[in-house]
Amino acid sequence: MSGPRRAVEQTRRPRSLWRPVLALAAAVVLGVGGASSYAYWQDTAQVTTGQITAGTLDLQLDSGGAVGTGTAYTKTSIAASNLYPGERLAFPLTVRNVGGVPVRYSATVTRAASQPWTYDATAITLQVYAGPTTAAGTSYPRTGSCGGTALHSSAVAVAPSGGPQALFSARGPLGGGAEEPLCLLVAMPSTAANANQGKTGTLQLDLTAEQVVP
Amino acid sequence: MRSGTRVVVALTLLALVALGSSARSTQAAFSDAAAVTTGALTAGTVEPVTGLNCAVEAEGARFTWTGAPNRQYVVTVTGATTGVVAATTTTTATSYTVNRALLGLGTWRVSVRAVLPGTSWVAPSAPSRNVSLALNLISCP
Repeated sequence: MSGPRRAVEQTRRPRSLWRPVLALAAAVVLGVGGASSYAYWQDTAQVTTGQITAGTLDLQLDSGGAVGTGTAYTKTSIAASNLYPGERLAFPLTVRNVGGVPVRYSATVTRAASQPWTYDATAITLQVYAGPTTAAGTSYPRTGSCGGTALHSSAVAVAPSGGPQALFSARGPLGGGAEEPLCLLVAMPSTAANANQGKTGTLQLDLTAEQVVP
Repeated sequence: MRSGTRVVVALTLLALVALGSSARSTQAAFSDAAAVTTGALTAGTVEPVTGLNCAVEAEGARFTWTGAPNRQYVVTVTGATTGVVAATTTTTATSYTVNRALLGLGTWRVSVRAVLPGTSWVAPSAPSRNVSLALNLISCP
C-alpha cells in the first residue's frame, strides 16, 4: 500500500463509526416508545382472604388460676402454721397449657411481696416434683411427700434477700390442652436455726411458658 | 481461588452461620408468665413450761410442770448463791425429783427449759423454783 492511500483511509475511519451509533440510538428510542405503548388492555385481579386469627398461649394453674397472660394467682391452701424443724408439707399444683401450641416451662421461687419474709436462709426449702401429692398428717412431725420425679436435684433454700431463685427450666413439652400435676414440697430442715421460731413468710412461684417452635 | 477471595468467602459463610443461629434464637414465639403466691408459712415456737411446782417428798423435792407434746426438758439444779451447777438432766417426763443426797446445805435453784428434740430450738425462758436443805430438812420456799 502506498503512502497517500493509507493517509486517506486513516482520515475516513472516524466518520464511519457514526453510522452504527446512530442506528443503535434509533433502535433504543423506538424500543422504549414501543414498550410504553405495548399494552392497550389490562386487568387487576384481587383476592381477599378469610380472617387470620392468632392463636393463644396461656399457662393456667389449677382450675381457673392465672387465666390470661402475665397473671397471678393466690393459692392460700399452700400454707402452714406451727411449722417445726424436720417437718415437710406437700401441696398439689396443676399446670395447664390451655393454648393451642406445645410449650416448655420454667419456674423460679422468691419471697412474695405481700408479706414480710422474716425467716433466715436456713428455714424454708422448696422442691418441686412432677407427680402426685401425699398429704402430711396433722400431728408433729408432719411428713408429707411427693411422688413422681423431682424437677431439680435438691431442695432450694429460700434466700431471705435477693431475686428469684431458679427451680427448673425447659420442662416439657406440654402439649396444647395438656396439664401436668406438680407437687410442691415445702420443708423446714431439722437444722433450721432457733432464731426462726414464730417467723413467717409467703412464697411466690413464677412459671414462664414458651412456645416450642418447630 | 486466590487467598484473598478465600478469606472473603470464609468470612461471608461465618456471618451467614452467625446470622442464622441468632435468627433461630430470636424466633418469635408466644410466651406466658403465670405466678402463684402461697398462703402464709408460719413457724411454730417452743413454749416455756408452765405451772412449775415443787413438793417435798420422802426422797427429796419433786418438781412437776406442764409442757407441750413432743418436747424434752432440760432440768438444771444450780446453787442459788454460788451459781454452781449440781446436776443437769434431760427428760421427756414432766416431773423430776431432786434427791436429798444430791443437795448440800443451802438453797438451790431448779430450772426447767423446754426443747424440741433433735433440733436447736429451745424455749426462750426456763421457769425456776428454789429448794432448800437445812438441818436435813427439805423445803420449797
